[in-house]
Amino acid sequence: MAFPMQRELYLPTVPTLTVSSQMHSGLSGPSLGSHGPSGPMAARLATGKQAPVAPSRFSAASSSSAAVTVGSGPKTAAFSPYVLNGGTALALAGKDFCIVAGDTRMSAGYEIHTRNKPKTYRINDKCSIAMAGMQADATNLIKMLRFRIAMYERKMGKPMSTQSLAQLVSTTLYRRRFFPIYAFVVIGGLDEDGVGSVYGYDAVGSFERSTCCVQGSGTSLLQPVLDNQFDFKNHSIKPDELTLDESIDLVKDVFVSAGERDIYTGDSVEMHIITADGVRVETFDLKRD
Amino acid sequence: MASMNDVVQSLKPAGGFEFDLCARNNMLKQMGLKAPKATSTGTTIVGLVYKDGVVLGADTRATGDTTVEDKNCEKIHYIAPNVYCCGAGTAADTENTTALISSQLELHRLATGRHSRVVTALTLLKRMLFRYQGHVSAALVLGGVDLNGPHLYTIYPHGSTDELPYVTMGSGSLAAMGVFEAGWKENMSEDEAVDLVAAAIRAGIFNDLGSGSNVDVTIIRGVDDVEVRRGYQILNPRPYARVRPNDLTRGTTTILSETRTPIHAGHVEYTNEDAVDMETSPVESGGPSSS
Repeated sequence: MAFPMQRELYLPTVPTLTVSSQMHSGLSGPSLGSHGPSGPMAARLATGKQAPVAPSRFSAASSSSAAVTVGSGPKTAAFSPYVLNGGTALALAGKDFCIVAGDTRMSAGYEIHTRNKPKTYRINDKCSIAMAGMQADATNLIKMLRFRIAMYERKMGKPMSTQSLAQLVSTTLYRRRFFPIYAFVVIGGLDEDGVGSVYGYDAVGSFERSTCCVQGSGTSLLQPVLDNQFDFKNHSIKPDELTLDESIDLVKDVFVSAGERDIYTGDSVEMHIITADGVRVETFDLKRD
Repeated sequence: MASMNDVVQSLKPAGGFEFDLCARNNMLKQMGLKAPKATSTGTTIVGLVYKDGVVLGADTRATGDTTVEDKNCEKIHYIAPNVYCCGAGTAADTENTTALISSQLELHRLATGRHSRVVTALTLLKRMLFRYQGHVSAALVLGGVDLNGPHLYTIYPHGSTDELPYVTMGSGSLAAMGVFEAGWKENMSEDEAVDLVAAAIRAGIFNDLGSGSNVDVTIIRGVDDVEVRRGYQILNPRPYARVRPNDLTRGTTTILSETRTPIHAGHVEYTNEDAVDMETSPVESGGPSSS
């Protein structure tokens, strides 16, 4: 009896793009000319030694981030196009509302870059996007999305629905399947019937509709709490669904708790509260240590 | 045949570190095993010499990777009545290293009948750290007052040391040193010194993600004239009281199956053939008595 198939969410685990012989044998760059697998490269590959490689398009970017191994072994020059800027983003969907929230700390390593970089982006009266991960990629992704959304609105003469936006984000991410956008997206909004809806993504566009989704450094702390306290998973007695005000309280509670234990979550939270009346933005402070 | 006592004797630790499993662990590492990481490094610790003594300061956050493991840990360790030591690095290393040297100094005081000198603590610490070639990850700020006046040292994990009028260590050391470089002057008063130390620790708490929570301060003026101000500044209380879950009805958690085993509260009897009765009265005649 086989185990049920499990879907794997894609996390880019290649923070360093290594210029290796494998890459060059796969992609025929200018340094290789027209040598096929039978060229001089083949012999070098067979001995396990790497051919001297031409500088890739990354290696010239910064000398400080180029890690060069010296010694008798094979030499590799690497540059990491990715950095994790930390932080937590989440969305909750109720019967007739949706909450999208993210903390505003942006950091790398042990350093805080800024205490005021919201992860939430208002798209229209019906939905907002929040993104954790690498903020450079997130900023660029939202720029691309806003362009596509504007084109859609011109062409169709109506605002983009949350469902359509969900598909657009997936397609945009999957276009970069082999050099992923290192942003972890969550969309919150109202669907065509005015019911709250949440869509959560991995870095290459796999997505799923749910009622609550957390992304970023606080995921492992918050997602199980929200599953239990918002969706009432593992409750044998199901309480009433949370109202908007109760949900706002819960969002505050979980962000305060994440701020206590996750070093990357803190400073403040920006929260988009989406109802039939539109998007209302609220902020509240977290600890700054 | 070996008796039970022989086996017990052979299992008794002989003192010092055990390296029995190193060969096995190296083999497992080669097979791709990831070793567990100890609670570590993020910390801001500082020390400052003022007019009549030394002020030590520390934050109170302990981290394991990106998680805060302890929000109010103690990083200023007792060494002797006139010597204290701040520790950054692997928590277990700083705690055990300072405790070990503290114990050695206590024995030394009893043997010599003299107060400990700060250099003695320094020498014992650096010898131990150098012996272990940096594998004992303790980065220390050692301060105290002895017959030669106030002394302040830093000790790096590999065993090198510095003697300076103001020092910082840990991941927040750059933030803290910025404050010291801007505000330090010679012959500061005690109040000025404590204020500057607290400001340096705050710089670490708010600007370094590895440091956080409260400021601890210890002031050493002389032998038995020490003020340990634990929680000198409480800077980061919870911003809101949690409101949910406000009720968890009895029966909320699903019970999948239930078995009840009564706890046996009766008398427990140990038997050991090799056991010898403890001598509680003088032996009357010929060998141990038994009843």
